[in-house]
Amino acid sequence: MHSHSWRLLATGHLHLDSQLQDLSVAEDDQHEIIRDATLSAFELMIESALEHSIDLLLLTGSLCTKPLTLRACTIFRDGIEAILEEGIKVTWAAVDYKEVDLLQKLNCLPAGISILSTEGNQQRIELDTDHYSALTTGSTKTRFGTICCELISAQQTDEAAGEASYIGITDQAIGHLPQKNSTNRTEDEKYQLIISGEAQRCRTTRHQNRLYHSPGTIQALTKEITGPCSATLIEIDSQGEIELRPLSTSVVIRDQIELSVPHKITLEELLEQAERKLLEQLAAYSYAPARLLHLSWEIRGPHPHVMQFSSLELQELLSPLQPLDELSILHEVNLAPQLTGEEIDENKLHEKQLGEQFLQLLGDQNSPFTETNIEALQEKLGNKTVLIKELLTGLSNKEICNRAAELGLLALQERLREAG
Amino acid sequence: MKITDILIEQFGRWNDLLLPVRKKGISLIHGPNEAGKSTLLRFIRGVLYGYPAAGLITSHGGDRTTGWGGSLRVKHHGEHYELTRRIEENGRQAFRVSHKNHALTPQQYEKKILQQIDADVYRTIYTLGLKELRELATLQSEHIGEYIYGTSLGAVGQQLLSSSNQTRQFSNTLVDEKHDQGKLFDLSGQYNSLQQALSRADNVLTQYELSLEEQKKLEKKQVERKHRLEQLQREQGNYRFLSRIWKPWKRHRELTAQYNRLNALSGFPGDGLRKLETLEQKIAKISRRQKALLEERSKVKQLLQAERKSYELRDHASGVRALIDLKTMVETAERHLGDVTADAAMLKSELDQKLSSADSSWTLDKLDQIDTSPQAHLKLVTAARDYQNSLRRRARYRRRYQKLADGNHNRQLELQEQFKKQNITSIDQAVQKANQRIRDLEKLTKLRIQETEFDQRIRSAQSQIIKLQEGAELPWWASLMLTIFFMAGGFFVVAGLFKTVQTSWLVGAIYMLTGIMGTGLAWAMRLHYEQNDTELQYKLNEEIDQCQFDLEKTRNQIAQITGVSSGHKLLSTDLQSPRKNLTEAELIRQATQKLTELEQFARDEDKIKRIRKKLSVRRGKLGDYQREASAARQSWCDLLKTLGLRETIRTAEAFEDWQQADDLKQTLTRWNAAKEDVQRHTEILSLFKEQMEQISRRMQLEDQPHRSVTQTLSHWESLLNDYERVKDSYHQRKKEYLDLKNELEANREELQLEKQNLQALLKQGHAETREQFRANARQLHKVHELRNQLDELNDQLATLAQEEPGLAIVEEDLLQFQPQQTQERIEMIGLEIEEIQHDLEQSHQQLGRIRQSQAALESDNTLANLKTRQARLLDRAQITLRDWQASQRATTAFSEMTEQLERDYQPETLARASHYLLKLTCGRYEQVRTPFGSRELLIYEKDGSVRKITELSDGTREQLLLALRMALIDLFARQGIELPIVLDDICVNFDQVRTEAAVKTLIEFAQNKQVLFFTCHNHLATLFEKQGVEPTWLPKFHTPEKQLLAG
Repeated sequence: MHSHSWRLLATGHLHLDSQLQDLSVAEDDQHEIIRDATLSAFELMIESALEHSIDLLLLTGSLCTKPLTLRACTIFRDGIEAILEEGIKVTWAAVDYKEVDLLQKLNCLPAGISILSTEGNQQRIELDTDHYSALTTGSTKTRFGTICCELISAQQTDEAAGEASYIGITDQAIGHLPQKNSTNRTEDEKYQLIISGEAQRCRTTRHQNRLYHSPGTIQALTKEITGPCSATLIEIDSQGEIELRPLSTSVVIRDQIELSVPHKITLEELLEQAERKLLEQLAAYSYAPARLLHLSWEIRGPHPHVMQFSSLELQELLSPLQPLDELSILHEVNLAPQLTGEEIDENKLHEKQLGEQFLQLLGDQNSPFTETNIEALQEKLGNKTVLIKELLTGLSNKEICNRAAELGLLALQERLREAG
Repeated sequence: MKITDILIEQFGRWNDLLLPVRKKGISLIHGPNEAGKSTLLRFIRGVLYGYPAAGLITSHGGDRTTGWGGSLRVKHHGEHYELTRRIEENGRQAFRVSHKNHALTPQQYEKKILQQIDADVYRTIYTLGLKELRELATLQSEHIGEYIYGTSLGAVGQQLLSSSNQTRQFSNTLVDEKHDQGKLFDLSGQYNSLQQALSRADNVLTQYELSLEEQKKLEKKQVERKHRLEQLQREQGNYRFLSRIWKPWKRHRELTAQYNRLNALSGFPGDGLRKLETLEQKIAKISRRQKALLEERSKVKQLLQAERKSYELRDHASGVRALIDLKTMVETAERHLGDVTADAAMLKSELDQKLSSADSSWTLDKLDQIDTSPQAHLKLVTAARDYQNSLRRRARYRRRYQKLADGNHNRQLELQEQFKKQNITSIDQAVQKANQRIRDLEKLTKLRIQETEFDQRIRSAQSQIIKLQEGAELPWWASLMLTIFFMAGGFFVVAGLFKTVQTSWLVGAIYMLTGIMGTGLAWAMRLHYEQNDTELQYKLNEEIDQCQFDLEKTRNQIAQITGVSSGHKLLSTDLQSPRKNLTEAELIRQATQKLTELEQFARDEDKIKRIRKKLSVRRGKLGDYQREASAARQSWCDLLKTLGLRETIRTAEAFEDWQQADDLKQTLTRWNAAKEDVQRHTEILSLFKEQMEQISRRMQLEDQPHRSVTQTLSHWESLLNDYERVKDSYHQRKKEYLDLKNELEANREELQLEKQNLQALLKQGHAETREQFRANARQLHKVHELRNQLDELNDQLATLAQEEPGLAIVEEDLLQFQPQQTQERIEMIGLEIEEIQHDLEQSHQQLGRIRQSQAALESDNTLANLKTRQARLLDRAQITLRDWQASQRATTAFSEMTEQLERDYQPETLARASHYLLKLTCGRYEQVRTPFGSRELLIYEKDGSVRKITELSDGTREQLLLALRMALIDLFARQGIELPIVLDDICVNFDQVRTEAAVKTLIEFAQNKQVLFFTCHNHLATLFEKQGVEPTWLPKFHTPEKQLLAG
């Protein structure tokens, strides 16, 4: 039988001192929040760990995106030391052992931390005098760690350990369908919970009474990861039931709101609709400790209705929309003009159908750039400067298409205004 | 206008020439070089537009053109004209146009004959040498350019061009690849600056590592130095200790040797001499005193015998005196007995009164049992305090428990009320349901959009079908015409049959064929239009069916979600309320609100559960307090019982009882004491009287009963005074005598003892006589002095040894000790210690500096700031690239649209030129086109590749320019402009195949035009000849004296 409940805080990638991306609309006064976002998230995670009186802190992701900085190392050292001082055990399932080496080199790896890796040996971590948790390294690379969460008495025999709740740690990503994933099902059978530190997003799936969970990063770096990021408080009660509870950590939240303009509406109506949507969205962040929200608006609908507005104009108009004092909001607006669906002449261009014909043609286009174009431009800019290919990879075709549609339609509209 | 004859009176090498020319087609004039072909070209151009002055200047200088001139006979619109131009003596050119014996004015000539074609256009389009053919610039003039490039693009073209320009300009502001400028280049520059700053600041980690290494090295060195310092200090201490201890050790060693030599008189008394003298003095003194004592004893004995008779009362004196001494006490006791007896009576009455006024339960026995001591009082107070404290704790905890329980109960009631109000049975189910509802609503929104889209597409297709159906019916006049055609066809067939029978089968066949053709044409036209419409209509119907199928599917999905059949428009049964007019967004918002509310309920429910658990814990604790209070009450009651008080749970009552008991007990105690006092005084007085009687009986005094105790005592006192007077002197003398006797005895014994002591002393001092004893004593004094010195040295060494308890010195070290060398070594070590201490201090300071620098590096944000700025810059660069790529895409889209427009709206000249070019190049180049808004020619090859004019070979370029001119001439011809075309050996750069093609093309081109083609090449002439064009042969001039003017 389980002797008492057990609390564990699991984290994914920490991304300490890594740079946040996709924040072109950021203002100078938000520089420090953005700069220290990952570090603040780590500190929040440490505070949460102390507040919830956990038994074990389990770091399953990588420490940061390369290269490791001194700031990252020292904040890690200070945070972990604070945890260890409270008598809480810390285990780090190190994805990259080079990080461990560097931390050791810089005297930033506190002595009490246990490191798990595929190369390591079996370890056992004492939690208190009456109970223990066994941490072992796996035999294959798919599982490099196992936590026996059953806190059986040290005096009890090994048979009692058979009733333990086992948590597996993996460095492989967990998909939506674990049975189709590369995880070994036979091996998985002995675990009640399998934690993966690989995924950037927080995700939980259940398969045959087994939980697969990725805590996700504690602070999102790109705008693709929307909503508050978190560390996961895993509580195993006296009946062996596992409860997962996210504890918000992200200081900068990224999110998207889609506004549909199916009919012709005025600017005031659009702004009113936007405000209403924003308030609904903000209700979801009431428990998050965030200080900055980067909100991407996508305004879509038939082009005659959408192109009444411009993205820059809307961005300026939405900027003053700051309903919460403690949370600054960065508004970024993208227009997504769409075809109206009316019949067009494919063989002949008509003045009144130019917009529709333009959009259709744009939709048929693939990337207009050849490799040589980009390489020639890169050569002109220099190879040690902004890497165009890398930046272009970060852009989606949809994003470019929408912007192209906006620019083209604006140009057509302006010409019409000049002529009319 | 067409030339019929060329008449040259004199022009260049030509004199009196009459050259007839073909009115249509090609007139090929073949002659070798210097035959005057080019002169002919210039003559024709000169007659029509004037001779160029410079062209007539000879190499001899001077003007030999006077009198030059000739005529062209032309035919224009069926009329014959003769155009004559001659250079007169004054150099002026005389020009005349004769028509039916009258002359035309120059204006009439230009308008009628030249048809407003100016000299330049004629020169560059109609009369071409190789030089003129190669000129492209001549085609770029305002007038000609309009024909070739087309100046009006139309509204669509203008809009596309303008939009394309705008997006291109925007693209250039972002990235101008030609000039290497634009926003991206600026950002790249900023990035480079940041990168440089970063590379400068990026050594933080290295610095930190170096600093750590340095710190480790320093710490290691410090440890080594400290170790060395400790060693040196220990060594120095050893040497110092050795040098300190060496001198006393050496002295001690010498004195010990001396002492061992002298120390033979063992056991000689320490102060023998003084003892000896003392004993001698004592013996003399005792002898003298014994003599004096014997004399005094005899004197005292005589006096004692004299006072013996007066000493009779001595046996009872003490008892009598004791009674007399008690006289005052007896008097006081008698008085006190009276007072005490009165007090006891009063206290008794007071006690009786209190007992009667107090509770009937109080009795004297019970009072005796009650413990009213301070210890008991303290116990009572402590127990009362404990009891009250436990009661207070219990009450306080009960209040807290009650408050928490009431709060939780109220919260639970509120929650239950909310549940009842919202008809919630299980909160988890409700949350799941709300989540499901949000998902349904989101899906519903998407489906609604799809539904609208399908609906719109169906309506659009239907409207198109209606339009088609409306357009499918041919206009009445067209139908009428087709019917007439049909009927006429029928009529002709019948007429044909009739004619075949009546007149001739040939005429009949013609009639029938005409009839069948008319009927067939009408039938085919109707069929053609109707079939096209039917196909389109079929496609549209198919599309409508597909859309309706999709629409139905979508509506079914909506119906599945809303629970309403697809025929209904309402969202769902629960939305048929007043909310049915709300939008899906509003519904989603409401559903989200409800979900938030439900989550709040769930949290409240959790909170209630938690408080219940807490209450359960508190209930247990309250039980503990209750038990504690009961135990305190029990111990309180036990204590009251032990103290003999009445049992009560009220502490105030207990204290009142205590107070009353204490009061009564004090009164009882006082009364008991008074009783005891009376009894004691009575007993004392009785005892006193008894003693008096006994004494008087023993003294054998006569009994005098009338006398009181006090009087008897006074009498006894006078008797005793007499006895006392005698007794004192007697006793004093008796005592004096005994003392003297004793003293004498003691003196004798003392004398004996002293003598024995003297003998023992001598024996101890190894002497038989007093002189020998004194000599031994002197020797011993010297040994004592040595002993003292040794003791002092031992103390000194012990003190030194205590100073350094950790050090152990071996005697061998002391034996080998060299003071001078040791001192030198100590000084050396001192110097080394100073040096190490200095180094230690310095490294300590250095360590401090390193730690400071480490702290500074740890808190340094420079790198992070730069990286964050760099990240923002990259974000901006990405947005710039996005905009650039987007603008490029938009531009490309506009270009494609423009291209389509170009395809559809190319100028007619180019279309015609394309036709000629295709022929001239044997099908290699099939199209010549000009982009909108530019004056550039693009040549499209058969394989689709495009070339600019500059990219063509000389031959192809000439073929293109020839094609363009031919197209222009065609265009002018369609406008009614006809002028003679003169081509002077323009095919010299063509290869054989293209030359043949050019010949065929020119022949085709010249079908309705007049073309004079000059050539000096036989093969060309042969080629024309093969095509049925007979050349006109020009002989070569062989007159060397005549100057060739041209050609």
